[in-house]
Amino acid sequence: MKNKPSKHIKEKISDYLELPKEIMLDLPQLILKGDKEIYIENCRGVAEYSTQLVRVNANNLTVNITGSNLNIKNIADTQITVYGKIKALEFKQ
Amino acid sequence: MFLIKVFNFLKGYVIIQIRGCYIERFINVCTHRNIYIWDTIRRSDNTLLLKISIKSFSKIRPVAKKTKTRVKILEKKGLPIIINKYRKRYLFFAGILCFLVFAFVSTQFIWTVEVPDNTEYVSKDEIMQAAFDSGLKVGVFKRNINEKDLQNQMLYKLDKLSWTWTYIKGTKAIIEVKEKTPKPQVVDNSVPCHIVAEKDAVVTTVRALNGFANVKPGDTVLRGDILISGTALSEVAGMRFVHASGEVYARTWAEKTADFPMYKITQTPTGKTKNYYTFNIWSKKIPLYFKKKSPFKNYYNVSNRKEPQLGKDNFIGISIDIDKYIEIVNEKTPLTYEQTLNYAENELRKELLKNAGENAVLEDLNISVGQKDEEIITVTATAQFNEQIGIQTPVDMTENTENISE
Repeated sequence: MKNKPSKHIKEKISDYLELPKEIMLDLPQLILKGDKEIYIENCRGVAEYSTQLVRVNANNLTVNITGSNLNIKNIADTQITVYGKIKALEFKQ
Repeated sequence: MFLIKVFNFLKGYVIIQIRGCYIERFINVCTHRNIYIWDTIRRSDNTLLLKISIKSFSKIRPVAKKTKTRVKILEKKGLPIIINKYRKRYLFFAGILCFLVFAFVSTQFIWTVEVPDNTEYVSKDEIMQAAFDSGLKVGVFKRNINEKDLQNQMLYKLDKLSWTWTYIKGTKAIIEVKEKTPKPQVVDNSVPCHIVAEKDAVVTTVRALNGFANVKPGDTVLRGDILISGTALSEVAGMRFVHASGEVYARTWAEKTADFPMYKITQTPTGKTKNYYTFNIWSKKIPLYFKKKSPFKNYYNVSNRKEPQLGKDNFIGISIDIDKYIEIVNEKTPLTYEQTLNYAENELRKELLKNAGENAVLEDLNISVGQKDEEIITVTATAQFNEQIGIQTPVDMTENTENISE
């Protein structure tokens, strides 16, 4: 409960000073290349991995990538690139 | 990215198969332990293919144990694997090393000497010889050549040169020269001389610049006749000697007879060829055949040379000479009488012009057919030229003094 107001403040500050949010709020940064490839930075590992669904943990968020023929192009400590035919992206708190 | 692929290839990687229920966990543990994974392919619910570098493969065993998955190597790829595979082929590596050494050593010598061929007063051979004498020859060690010294020596040896420049480009030594302009000929006017006819002719014009004209247009002269005299007997001054000069133009004739066949031979290659190869190594010839003999009756041959080079201008002293024999068929095409005559006229005109003097002008050409055969005709061409026939000859002094004493 204590964390919540501080986050608001952080968001406000970053809004006000135009600082990058992904650093201030520790949010994942996603780069999509059409429906072929997605690059996620600042993530915390793979929660689920199949050719139809890849779930990636990113702090408070979970990114669900659905599609077909999904595979991981490369994966390192805080970043992951998934390629295949992406149909949908979904964010869950 | 291509560069990353190249990097991975150089470092070497393995394609492994992971089997187990906790594949996501396996991936997460790997990433936490700084094991880089790429190009994963999900085969089925409990199998995964992935690529991993050779170096981090050793770290995978504890991870597999922790996540209860089984690891199987499917393929090993990359440069370290290839090197490892051929590790025991000593001769192979020795061969590579030998080749590198050979290439390096053979590029340290001069294999070709290039000489300009547009020189006017100095022949190519002379320059070649001078360069040879100065120490620039095929097969000489490159480092031993002192270019400056060589240039000086060349200049010293060849008087006709005013400037030389030698430089080495790869295994090629290039010589550049600048020639001296020769001294102009000084006419010695003090020596008395006649202008004498060079050949039998009929005089057309006489242009005496100095001396006394002995002939007039229309005169027939024989070879050796004095055209413009350098001596004159004057009643007042006695015998006078001058240096005669001038030009005498006269009509001359030349004749040429030749047989001409009434057919034309055309040569067409049949397509059959035979090659003979000669291997040249460091200017030594090694024939790659036993006996060089044309396998065809009618043939012509073409020879060319192939020189492998290491980069530009780095001829390594090895070349292959190819002597190609090409079979041909001679075909007779009959010509009409007019065609043969036309051909004969052209040929004879060419021949006559070649034999005539440099400044001769062809005035007339007469063609007459001597003998006519079924296949061969004999053609005679008579050419009339107009040319300068006077040449300077010194006056024979003894003869003239005798005249005076008389």
